[in-house]
Amino acid sequence: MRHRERPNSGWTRIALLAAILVSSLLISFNRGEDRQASKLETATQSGVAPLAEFLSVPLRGIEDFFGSFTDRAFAFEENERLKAEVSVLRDRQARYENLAMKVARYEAILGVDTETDVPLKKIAARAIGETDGPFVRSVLLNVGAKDGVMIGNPVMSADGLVGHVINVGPASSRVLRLSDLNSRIAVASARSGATAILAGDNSPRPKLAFINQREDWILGDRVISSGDDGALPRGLAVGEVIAGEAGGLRVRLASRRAGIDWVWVSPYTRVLPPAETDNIIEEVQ
Amino acid sequence: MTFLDAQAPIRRVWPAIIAGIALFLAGAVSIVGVTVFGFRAGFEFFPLLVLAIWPRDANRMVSLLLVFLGGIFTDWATGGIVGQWALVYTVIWGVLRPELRSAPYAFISLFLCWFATCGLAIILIGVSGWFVFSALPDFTSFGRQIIAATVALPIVLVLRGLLAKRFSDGEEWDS
Repeated sequence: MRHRERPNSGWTRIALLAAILVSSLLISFNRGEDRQASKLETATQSGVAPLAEFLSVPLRGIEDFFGSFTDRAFAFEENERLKAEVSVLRDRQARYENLAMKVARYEAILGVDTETDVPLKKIAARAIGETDGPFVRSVLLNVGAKDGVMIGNPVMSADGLVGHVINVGPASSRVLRLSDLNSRIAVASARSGATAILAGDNSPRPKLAFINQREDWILGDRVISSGDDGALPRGLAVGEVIAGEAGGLRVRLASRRAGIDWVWVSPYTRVLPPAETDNIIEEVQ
Repeated sequence: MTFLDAQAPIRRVWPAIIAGIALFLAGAVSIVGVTVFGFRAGFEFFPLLVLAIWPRDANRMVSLLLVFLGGIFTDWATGGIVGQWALVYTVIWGVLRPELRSAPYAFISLFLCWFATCGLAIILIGVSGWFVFSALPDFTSFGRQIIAATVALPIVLVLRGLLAKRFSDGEEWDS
C-alpha cells in the first residue's frame, strides 16, 4: 500500500497542533473533582488485563529467581528474628485467647455484639499489573464485578491494607494504593484511638494530616483504619507511625513491599449517610 | 531546498500501521513492571522506545493518528491522567520528526536521541501532572522507568532491524 504525500505538507503540522490541543484539553478535564472512569477506560482495562496476566507469569519468575538470592543471603538473620518473634507471639496468643473468652462472656451478659465490621468473606485476587508512575500508584487485579468486587472495597495483602478499589470491570479491577496522591483514608492509632487522615503524596510513606489530639500520637504507634468515614471498615492494619519532616508524622505502610502479588478484596458495603440511605429506600419503594 | 523536496519521498501506510501496533502493545505492556533486588522497574517508558525508532518512510497523517490514539490507549490502560501520554507521544513524535531523518541512527546518536526523548517526556509529564494535581512528580519513578527502558533499547533495536530487513529496508539500518 503506497501513498504519495506532498513534501512539507502543512496539514501534518495542523493535525499535530490539533492533537496537542485536544490532549491538553483532555488533561484539563482531569483537574479538580474525582474523575469517574469512562466505559471506554474500563473496557481498555479489561482488554489489557489478560495480556498483563500473561506477562506477569515470566515476570514473577524473574522476581522469584532474583528474590531467592536475597532470601538465601539473609536466611540466617531472618531465622533468628523469626524465632524471637514466635516466642513473643506465643505469649500474645495465650493472652488473646483469654481476652476473647472474656469479651464473649461480657457480650453474652450485656447482649451486645462487639465484632469488628471487617467482612469475613474474602475474594482472593492476583495483582497482574502495577502502575508505579510519577503521579499514579495503582494496581490492576484479575477479579471484577463477576467475582463480587465493588467500587470502594478495601484490598489487603498478607502485610496490611494496600488500598481500595476505584474502578471495576467485568473481570478486572483497579486499586488506588495508599501512597497515591489521591488517596485519603480515615485512620486511628490502635493504642490511643486518636484519629487522623492518611494522605498519599506519592512517597512510600504517606503523611498523617488533620491530626486530632496530636499529643495522643507517638512514634511507633500501630495505625489502623478508623472506619470514621464509613468508606472502610474499622481495624484494618495500615502501618506504623514514623517521624516526618518539620515535626510532622508519616506512616510506614505495612504493605510497603514494592511488588504485590496475591491480595484479597473485602466485599465491604460502604456505610451511607442517612440522607443517601433515605433516597435509596425511596427509590426501592 | 530540503532533503524531502529533492527526494519526493513515498510515504507508505503499512510501516505506520506496524509501528502503531507496536506502540499499542508497548502501551499495554506499560502497566506491568518487575521487582529485582527490591528495585521496582515499571515499563511505562517502553512506548517511547517505539517512538524513538519510528519508521522514516511511514505515512505522516496515519502515524500521527496512531501516535495520538496510542497515547489515549496508554492513559486508559494505566488509569492515569487522560490525555497525558497522548500529549507526550504527539509532542515527541512532532519533535523527533522521523521523516526528516536523512540517515539511520548511528549508535551514539541513537542514545542521544533516546535520552533527549526521555528528558522531554519528563518535562511534559511533570508539567501536566503539576497542572492536574498541583504536586511535583516522584522523580525516582522516572529514573527507574528510564533505566528499564534503556536496558530494553538494544533488544528493541535488534527486533526493529530484523523487521526492517524482512520488509526490505534493512540496508538503511545496517550502520
